[in-house]
Amino acid sequence: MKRILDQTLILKPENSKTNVPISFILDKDYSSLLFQCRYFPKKVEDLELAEREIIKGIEKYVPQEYRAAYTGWRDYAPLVNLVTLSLDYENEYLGCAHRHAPEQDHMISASHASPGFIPHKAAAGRWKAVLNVHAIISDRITYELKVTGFENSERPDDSI
Amino acid sequence: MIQYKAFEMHTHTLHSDGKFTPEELCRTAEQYQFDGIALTDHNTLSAHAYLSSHPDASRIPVVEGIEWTTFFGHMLVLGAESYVDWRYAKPADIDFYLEKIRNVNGVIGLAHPFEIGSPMCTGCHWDFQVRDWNNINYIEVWSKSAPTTHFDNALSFRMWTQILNQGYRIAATAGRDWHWETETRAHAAATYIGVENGEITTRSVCDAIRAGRTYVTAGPAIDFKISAGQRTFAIGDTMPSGICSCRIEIDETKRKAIWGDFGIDVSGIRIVSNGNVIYSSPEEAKMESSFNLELKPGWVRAELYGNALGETGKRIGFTSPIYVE
Ligand SMILES: [Zn+2]
Ligand SMILES: [Zn+2]
Repeated sequence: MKRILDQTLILKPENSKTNVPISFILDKDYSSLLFQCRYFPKKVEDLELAEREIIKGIEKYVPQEYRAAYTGWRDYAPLVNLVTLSLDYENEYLGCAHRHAPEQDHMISASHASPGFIPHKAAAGRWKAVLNVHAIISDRITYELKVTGFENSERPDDSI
Repeated sequence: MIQYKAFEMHTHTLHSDGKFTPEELCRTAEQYQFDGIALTDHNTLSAHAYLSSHPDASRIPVVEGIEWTTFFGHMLVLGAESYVDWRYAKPADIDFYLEKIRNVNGVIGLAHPFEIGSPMCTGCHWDFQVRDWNNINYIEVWSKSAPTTHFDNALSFRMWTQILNQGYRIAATAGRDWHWETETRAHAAATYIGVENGEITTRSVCDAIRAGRTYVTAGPAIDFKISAGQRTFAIGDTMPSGICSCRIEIDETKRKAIWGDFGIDVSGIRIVSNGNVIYSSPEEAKMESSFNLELKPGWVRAELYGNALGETGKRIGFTSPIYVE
C-alpha cells in the first residue's frame, strides 16, 4: 500500500462551473487505486446568503406569470455545494461519480470499479483526477483528495 | 412497418445520483408498462458497461445514453459510438461539441431546458447558445412526473414551437428524470417512438428520433395521419402543401392501468400549424376524427386537450410534426 497523493484545496464561489485537474504519475503498476474524496461544508450554513441567492435565482428563472406558485425561499433551502470527481488515464475518460455525498471512496482496478467508473488497470502512467466544481455557494470549501495504490497481495475493501 | 412503442427516456441509477440499481430501474420500468427505456446517467456510461456484462439484469430493452451534466445545461446523448468529453463545453462553443457527437452518430436532446438553475440546481437551466439547431435532434419538452403541472414545461413547449417556426426539424420527448421510485405510483408521461417493425435497439430508437417519429402523452395513445392525393403521411414525414385530409385516432386502452387514476380525460383535439391553431374539434372529441384542411408550407402537429391531475384545459398529448413543403 502506498499513498500516492494527499492534497487539500480551497475552492471558492469563483471556481464554480470550472474543472480543477489534479494530475499524478504512477511510476509502476498497482493492482488497484483508491480515491478518497471529502469536502466540507456541504450545506450552506449562512441562511442570509442562502435567502439572497435563492431569491436571485427565482427572479432569474421563474417568469412573473408563474411566481404565484412560489411560496418562499425556504422551500429551496438548504443550498448545497457540489463537487464531483471524474477520472482520466492518459487520454481516456474513465467516468465520473456524479453524486451528492460529501465523502466518497472510489476504487479502480482491472476487474472492478466503483459505480460511475469503468474497470481499468491501475497502470503506470499519467492519471488525472478532474474535480468538476458545479457549485460553490459557501464563501469557501475545503476539498481533500487522497489516492492510495494497492499491491496484488493487499486487498482494499471490495464493497467500495 | 413502423410501430409505436412506449418509452421512459430519462433515467438514472446509482452509477450517478439515482437510487435504483440498474436491475431495479429495469424492473420498475416494466411495472410502468414501458416497452423500453433510455438509461442516461450523469456523465457516465458505467451502468451500460454493467448491463452488457450482466445480460440477465434487464428484460426490458435499454437504449444506451448519457446525460451530459455540464455547468451550462443538461443534454441527453443517445447511441454515440464513442465518448465525447462533456467537461470543457462553454456556452458559446457548444456547436463544436454537438458536431463531434453527431460525427460519432449520437442523437442529441436538450434535457429540461427551463429547469431552475443556480443556486438551486447549477447547470440545470439551458444556457448554451446553439448556433445551428440542425445539430439538435430533440427537446425534452416535458420533464419530471406530473409534467402537465410544471411551469418550466410550458416554457419548453413554447421554445420548441419557436424553433420549429424557424424551420428546424426537432422531435419532442418526455422524460421523468427518474432517480428513484416514489412510495405511491406517480403520474409518468410516455414518449411513444415509431421504430421499424417494432424492434427496439439503441440503433432503431436513434433512427426513429432522427426521423422525428415521436409523440408525447400523459395517457392515451395517438395515431395521426394526413392524406394528400394517393399518399398518406405520418409523424416525421414530409408532405406537399395544399388541401389534405387529416385523421386522428385516440386509443385510451393502452397502458390505462398506469395513467387511468390521474383524472386524464380527452375533451378536444387541435391541429397546430406553424404555431397557429388551424383546427379545433367541435365538441367532445370522438375517439376517431377525420376532417379536411389546407396546409401551408412549414409544419403541422396534433395536440390533445382535456383534464389532467385535477386541472382543466390542459395539453395532455402532442405529436412531433409532419413537415410541409
Ligand atoms: Zn438533468
Ligand atoms: Zn437527469
